[in-house]
Amino acid sequence: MSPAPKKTNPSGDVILEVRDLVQSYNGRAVLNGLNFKVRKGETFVIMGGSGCGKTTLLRILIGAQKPTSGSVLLFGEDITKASPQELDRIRLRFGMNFQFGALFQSMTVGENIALPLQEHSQVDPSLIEMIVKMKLELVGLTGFENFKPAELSGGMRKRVGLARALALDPELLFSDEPTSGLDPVMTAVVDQLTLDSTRKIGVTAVVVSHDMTSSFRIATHMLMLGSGPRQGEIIAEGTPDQIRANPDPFLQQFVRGEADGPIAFRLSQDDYLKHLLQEG
Amino acid sequence: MEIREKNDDSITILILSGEIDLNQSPVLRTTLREKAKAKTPRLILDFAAVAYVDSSGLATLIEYYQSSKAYSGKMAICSLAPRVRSSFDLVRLSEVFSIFPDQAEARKALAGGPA
Repeated sequence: MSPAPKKTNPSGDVILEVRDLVQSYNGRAVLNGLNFKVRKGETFVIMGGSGCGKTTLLRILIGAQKPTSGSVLLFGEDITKASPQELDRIRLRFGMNFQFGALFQSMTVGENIALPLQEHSQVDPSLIEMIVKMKLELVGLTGFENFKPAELSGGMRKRVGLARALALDPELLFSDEPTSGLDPVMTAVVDQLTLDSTRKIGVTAVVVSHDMTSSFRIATHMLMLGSGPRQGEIIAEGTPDQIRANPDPFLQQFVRGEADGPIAFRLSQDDYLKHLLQEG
Repeated sequence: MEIREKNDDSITILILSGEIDLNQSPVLRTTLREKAKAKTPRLILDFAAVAYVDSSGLATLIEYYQSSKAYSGKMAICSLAPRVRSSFDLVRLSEVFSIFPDQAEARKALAGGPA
């Protein structure tokens, strides 16, 4: 157990800063020189199509993967150069809400939520029990402490994942596709939980999503990653109004969910021919 | 965080200041356990100078609330800043605790009933 980290931030109101970030696989840049900042209190939504590198970016932002080059400053500290011990300390200041909850199947819902508190705080077990109950109330699952994840629906598991991510009351919450696979009502519920955490208690959120309705509902700032011919670059960044008004055809095709446009479903005839005839 | 104590008309007032987080809630817990042990009949927790309270702080308050119920002690919370109030509201603790806009209202409420 370690004491809770001191909430210092030499970067002022900038909670997260990405500088010249590059991630390449086999010489192909998935992320190509990204630069952006997330400020305290923002709900920063990272959008992009399948394969655009959203998940890779998220893994780098939480320190689960080292980038090819560039830096990621979390609370003013470069996590790409941090030691495992330093990374553990920084990780106590943020929560991670995984796409499918990433719950431990052998543990109950209550044990899953209690785990970060047991591992990373010195809070008394009787108080942890109360905190678990409060977190379950927060996500609308009061009374589900003794259920196993397998006994819950997908939407409930996602909410348990969110409750666990918020167990230590982090300053920053990362969320990976929090609404994917949910029906419209449950999507609205999860969005409201994100809004409650951010607008009412001041948590900063970085949300990766390709759900446009949800993104525009929760975002205060948005960033669109390119794919295909514009793989690895930032297509657009700004407030939801700025994103709506941005005429970039790639962005507008994505926002409107249209099949026809610069985001190609298939290679062009020339590129397909080149690909067919390519050796190796 | 800091805790200043004031006793007035058989009401104990704890004036809290700073942030009640994982590091600081044990300080509050120690004080509240002393108050429960002494069976403090009427207690006001003044949050006017509290900028933040986390779940461990809220759990500490629930623990005292539970202890004080055992000896019919009364507890009131007052002067919550909007963001701090939201932390109570989100987990419905505003429905559990007696919360007042200021110390005067809290004193009036506690002075009204039997100890």
